[in-house]
Amino acid sequence: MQTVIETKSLCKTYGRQKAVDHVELHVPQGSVYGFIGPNGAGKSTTMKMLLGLIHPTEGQVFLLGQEMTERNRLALLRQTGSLIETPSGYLHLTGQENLQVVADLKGVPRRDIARVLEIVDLTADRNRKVGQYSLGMKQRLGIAMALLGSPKLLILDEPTNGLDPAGIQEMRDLIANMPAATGATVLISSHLLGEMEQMVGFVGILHQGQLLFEGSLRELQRHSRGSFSLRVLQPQKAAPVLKGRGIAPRLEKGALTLPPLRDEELAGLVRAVAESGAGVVGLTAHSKSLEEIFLSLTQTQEVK
Amino acid sequence: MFKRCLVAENRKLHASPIWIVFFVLPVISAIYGTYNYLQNLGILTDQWYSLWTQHTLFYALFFFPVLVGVYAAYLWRLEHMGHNWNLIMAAPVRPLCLFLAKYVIVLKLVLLTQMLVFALYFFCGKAFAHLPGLPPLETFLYLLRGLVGGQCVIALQLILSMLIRSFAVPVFIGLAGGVVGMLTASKGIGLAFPYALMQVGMNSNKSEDILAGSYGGFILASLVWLLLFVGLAQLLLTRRDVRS
Amino acid sequence: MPRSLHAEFQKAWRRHDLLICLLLPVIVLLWSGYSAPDGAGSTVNAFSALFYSAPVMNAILMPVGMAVLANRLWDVEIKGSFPKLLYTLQSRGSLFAAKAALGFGEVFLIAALETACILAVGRWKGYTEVIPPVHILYFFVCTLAVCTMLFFSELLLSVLLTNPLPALCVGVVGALVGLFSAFMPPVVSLFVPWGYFIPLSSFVLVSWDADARIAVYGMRDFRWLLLFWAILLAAGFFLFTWRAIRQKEV
Repeated sequence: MQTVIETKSLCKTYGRQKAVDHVELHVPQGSVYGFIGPNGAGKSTTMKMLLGLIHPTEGQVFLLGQEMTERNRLALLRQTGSLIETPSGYLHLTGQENLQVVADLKGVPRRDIARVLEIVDLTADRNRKVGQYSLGMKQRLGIAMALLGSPKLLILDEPTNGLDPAGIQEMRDLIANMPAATGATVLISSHLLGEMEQMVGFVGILHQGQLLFEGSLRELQRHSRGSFSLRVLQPQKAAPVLKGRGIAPRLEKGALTLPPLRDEELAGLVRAVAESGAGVVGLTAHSKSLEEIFLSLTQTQEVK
Repeated sequence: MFKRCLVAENRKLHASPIWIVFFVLPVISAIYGTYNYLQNLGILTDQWYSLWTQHTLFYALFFFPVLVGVYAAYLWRLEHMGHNWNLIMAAPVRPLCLFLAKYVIVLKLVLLTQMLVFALYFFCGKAFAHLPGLPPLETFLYLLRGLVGGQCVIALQLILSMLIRSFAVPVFIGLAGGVVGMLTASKGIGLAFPYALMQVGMNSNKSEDILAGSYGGFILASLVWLLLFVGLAQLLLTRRDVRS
Repeated sequence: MPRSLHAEFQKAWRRHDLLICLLLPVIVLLWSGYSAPDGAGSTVNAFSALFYSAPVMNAILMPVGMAVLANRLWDVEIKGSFPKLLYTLQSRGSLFAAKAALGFGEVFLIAALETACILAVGRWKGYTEVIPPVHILYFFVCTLAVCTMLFFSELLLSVLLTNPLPALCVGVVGALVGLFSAFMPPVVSLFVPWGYFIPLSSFVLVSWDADARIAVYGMRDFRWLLLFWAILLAAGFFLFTWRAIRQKEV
């Protein structure tokens, strides 16, 4: 598996505080990689180091197969598109003019501008000054700037920030389809697990500067599945069925609590309870919070 | 309503770096003024009056409008940054109240500055120039007159800083205005130009009273300019959409 | 560099900076026009009078003017949240080079226009005195050198501090102190860079007859050492600004 981004022992220390602590990233080619962590985990700092905006205290960054040095940095970044923290946009210029500045600096032909405007749905507003844009429009303009030149690698920091639900949906579809459409690899960061689950194929979880987990989404979902609540009309009829499968029946708030189960086991259990005549009314899945996932991960010692 | 605006605006100035500028400019003026007076005792024979011209000459001509420009720009800066305009325009106060509150604050700042100038003048006169007695009452009058003449500049600079989002450009316009004001005052048409009114009021160029007898015209001109600017502010605040 | 410079011109579009560049010489034009002596009347050498008073006008206007230009040149990036993106598109060195080139271009334009305005005023008033071209050139070079020094010192402040207030206040206080230093013993003026226009000037007041109100102006030697020092200061600020842009973390 070829990696588009790889870091070896990447560290950044501010004074005595370790913002990024020996992070080893491996972003496979053609994937959508989700960089997840709570606020202050060090995601933005890591991404800035990937782009060479900050110098690492220790460690190396490999981009597109080459080690990133001062000399080849700009050449490598020419094949990258990025949006870090706040979107860029000169307030006194129109959206079109802003894209012209970026396109000229990137060495991208001007006709590409129409294409990216179409993708982010800003064609109608391209001749308005950015100072008059809403937050969502500025965000979309920032993404358009990153898309100029069809880069091989996209690094996006909270790309759905400030977008309305329709915009978030479009962004999700755009990013999820990007590897298939253009062959690009996308690294996105967010602190919203729910959103990420619909977009990404691989995840890296950062917590207090350390990479707690890196792997496919499926692996993560296995850890994140929480308990289930099974509501039945007559719990006393369901109890023997549960006991028979080795599950101690617990009644909480009028529903039976079931431990995390695989899909097949769960389906079998529900059918058995229904057949027992207990009257299955509803089944609710509780997902673990990010904190619970961390705990579950650390406890099962699957940390890299 | 107005009182609430005033209190809010006043609070913005707490612990702001503006006080450094407020202090430094008059002190430098005083140092230079005293020095120049002492160096030229042969020519400057009017004692307290001469010392007054030395202390206030350049201050009144150029640096007063700049100082007012800085104060005005600073007060508007807090609105221009971020989306504070939305917060303010949505507040249950009339926009003009806001403008007038800022006007009063800058007026207060300028009055304090004028007081400082006068205090330094008095101190230097006694301590370094060893001038006898007390400064003549007229110099205090000039000070207040300077404020009367200068208050329309305050209104104008507030409008400029409201319209122009840049911090530095209105200050520069203030300086340019000061220069043009100096020219118009020297040509005798000082009453027709707001920046010149302040210079005429402070009497910084001559030892004899420029305005002797023509107070009416001076006060009228100040009032007319003030009303004009406040009217303009009202128009701009109510007609233009909020550009956050 | 050409690409970066082209980007700078695109950013300057609609920013009215050119207006400010033009406004400065216009003010000098008005000022010198109004206060210039009439053709034959009160002085023997009227043109010299103009060139004598120009440095004083510069000392008042230029520190604040340069502060405004430098601040606007850098501030456009901060307001647009562009540094993080720009540093992935171009090297910091090329960004600085482009900004320095545009800034210097603006300063050059101002100095040239100002010199031209003074000559124009003299021509309009019908002055008969002939100023040796080398003095005019010297005036232009001195104005350019000191303005460049002021510009880069203000650019340094704008890069180091995101708040425009300190940079502007340095300009204002500098103008005041620079102006005053002119009227103090000559030794003081050597320590006040903002006012270097005045000691560098090659025109002096030879005599002032208070009764007849006639002033006689003369010329003196060029002060090469001081000019060289001003250029050195300009180069120093240039290098410090370059270093600041290189090292600033985004």
